[in-house]
Amino acid sequence: MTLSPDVQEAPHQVFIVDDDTSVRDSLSMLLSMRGLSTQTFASAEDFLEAFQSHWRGCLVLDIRMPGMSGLELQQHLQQRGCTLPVIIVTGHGDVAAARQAFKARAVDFIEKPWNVDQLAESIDQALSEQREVSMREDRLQQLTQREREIVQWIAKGLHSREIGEQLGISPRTVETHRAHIMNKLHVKNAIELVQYLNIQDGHS
Amino acid sequence: MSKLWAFDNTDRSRTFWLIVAFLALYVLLAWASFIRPTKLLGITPWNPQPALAVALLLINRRWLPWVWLAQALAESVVRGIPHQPMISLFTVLCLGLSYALMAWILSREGGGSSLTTLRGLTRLVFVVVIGAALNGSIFVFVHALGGVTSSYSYVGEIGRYWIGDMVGFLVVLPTLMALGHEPLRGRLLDTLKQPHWWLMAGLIGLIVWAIFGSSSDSYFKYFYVLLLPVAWLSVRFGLPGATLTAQATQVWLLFAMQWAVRIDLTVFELQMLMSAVAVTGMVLGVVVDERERMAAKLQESLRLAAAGQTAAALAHELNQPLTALSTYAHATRSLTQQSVAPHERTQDQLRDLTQRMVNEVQRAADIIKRLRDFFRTGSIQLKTHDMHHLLQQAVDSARRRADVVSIRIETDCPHNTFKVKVDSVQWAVVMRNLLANAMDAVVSTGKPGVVTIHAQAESGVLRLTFTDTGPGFTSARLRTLFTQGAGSDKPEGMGIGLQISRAIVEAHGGQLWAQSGKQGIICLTLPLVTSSEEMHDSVA
Repeated sequence: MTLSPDVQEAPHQVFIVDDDTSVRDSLSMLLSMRGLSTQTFASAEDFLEAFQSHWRGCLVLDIRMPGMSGLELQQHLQQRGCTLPVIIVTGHGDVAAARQAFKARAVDFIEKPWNVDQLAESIDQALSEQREVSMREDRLQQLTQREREIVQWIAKGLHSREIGEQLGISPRTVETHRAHIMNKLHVKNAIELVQYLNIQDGHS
Repeated sequence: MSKLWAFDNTDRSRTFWLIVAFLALYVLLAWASFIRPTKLLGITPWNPQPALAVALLLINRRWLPWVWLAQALAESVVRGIPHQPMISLFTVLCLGLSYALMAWILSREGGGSSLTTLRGLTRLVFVVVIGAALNGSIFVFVHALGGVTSSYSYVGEIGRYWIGDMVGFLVVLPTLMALGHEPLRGRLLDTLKQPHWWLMAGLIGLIVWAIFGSSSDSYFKYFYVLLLPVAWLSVRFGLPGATLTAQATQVWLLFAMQWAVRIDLTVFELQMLMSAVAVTGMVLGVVVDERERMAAKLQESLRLAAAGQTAAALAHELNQPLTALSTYAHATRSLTQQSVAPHERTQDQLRDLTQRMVNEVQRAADIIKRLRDFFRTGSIQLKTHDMHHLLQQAVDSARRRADVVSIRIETDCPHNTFKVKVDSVQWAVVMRNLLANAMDAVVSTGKPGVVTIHAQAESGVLRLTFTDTGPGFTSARLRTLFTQGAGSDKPEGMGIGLQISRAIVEAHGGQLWAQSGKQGIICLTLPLVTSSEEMHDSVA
């Protein structure tokens, strides 16, 4: 039971899409008791209509619903470039459905009736990953134009002197920028910086 | 005790009359079939009475003495008092034993039930062919040993006896065996009630007349034409049709031969062809029966699959209240853990949660009750519905997906006009399958499209036509459309959706089929509820 209240004030939400009112309401109630904010949708189509690309959080998605199925919605969202982590829940999980869900990058596949602890853990993990991602995003946003340029060069493996030559500035200035970058992104060296960028690319 | 006696009495009197009837019929048949005998040995080209003897021995092998008696009676009635009584008596005894042997082998092969499989029929024909050869050998050898000479060779005489006996067995014995086998007896009598059969039997007479009406060499040239009506009736009515048709053909043939054929040996040759016709007809009939049985079995398993799906759907529904229940329970627990001394707001929340849990338990109980009802009655709850509403409901639940993939769903069904009796859960399965298939077909074209459902009444049934602007079905596709695994390959397991739908529609007394064309067309029929039935319904 590791669900923690949203300390960061970031608008992270759990989006619940299930055609069954009781299932939807019970989960929403439980999660909000633990300090998470939730939104519920009675169908995949309802969710698509309301969906905003700036939404952050995670998606709990039922497979079998009248109309569009959960798996169809998942694919639809993937095509639209939505990076919300998706947890698939289903009353009758079969291998084919699980395979399709994971191919579309589902973070978990849980059978109903669910084990609440397992589901909560899965949601918690998805949310913390999301927070990590948005935190990194925010930090990247803090970089100045010049600093972003220098990040690209560092990522390509160039030394300060070479970067200075490329940009027509002194290596000392590059070093100063470099120190700022490391500070803002909370990394210690060039290797960590490259890792940071790679992770971020993987999510967007 | 008296009751037992009464029972025994009726049983005895039945046996008595059966044997009397057997004796009379045996002698009558022997007399009527004593046509065109060969010189001296008196071998005839058509011996139906041994089949009667084998049939009687199939009922009870201990009745062999009655068979001997029948043979002796027939001998003396048909051929008069024999010049060499010892030879005749010995022949009768040996032939009777041979018949008993045939009956014993046939009963070991399952008697009448052997007529339901191709394997059983093959064995029957085998036994008959060998048995007839044995009878012929017995007859000729005994007479040869007794010093009776023939103007023909003995082998030729055996051959002629063999033909006469074999054709008699092949034409008469299957019918008699079918009469002793309950399911076949009913179908045999049903076939005799069909005007269609009588018409074709008459047609066979016409064909026989045409064959024998002209010159003698046309007998053999055109004999094959007889195969056409025989094959037709065998395919149409199965084995009972085949055996009855063989008899009709034989009767016509005997009349025609008596009237037209001058040379006796030609009659034997024609009878050989008659055997082939009879066997061909029976093989066709059995194959058709077997295929029909397989189809019925498949239908049954599909009905079971439909029932299984319904049960699975109900069981699956149980997941929802259980899921909600467990989640509410967890919420309750965390609420009680949070506050050592619950204040008023928490108490309200707890009260609310408890009520919700009670509701979910009630819901689960309702589902279990429905599930139990379903298994107990094994069936569906038929209620009268207005097709307009049913279509509306189905279309509404498909509407959202249709909007996303830009498909327009149009229905053409007047309000309050077509009333049908359906189980709403199963009907929803059918509609979901059919609409999903139609939409999949449209989506596969990559263009926006239309799915229309047209309702129309025709002679007491309602016909729904689902048309989609998808690629349609080729005739090759139609053949595989309703077989396992056809259709879409979605992971939700809709692969056999069409088959399931067909099974459900048929369980409702309707039909479901697809048509080939440039558009996808699926049709289904359902019996319409008449207004009087509806009145009755509302009273009940």
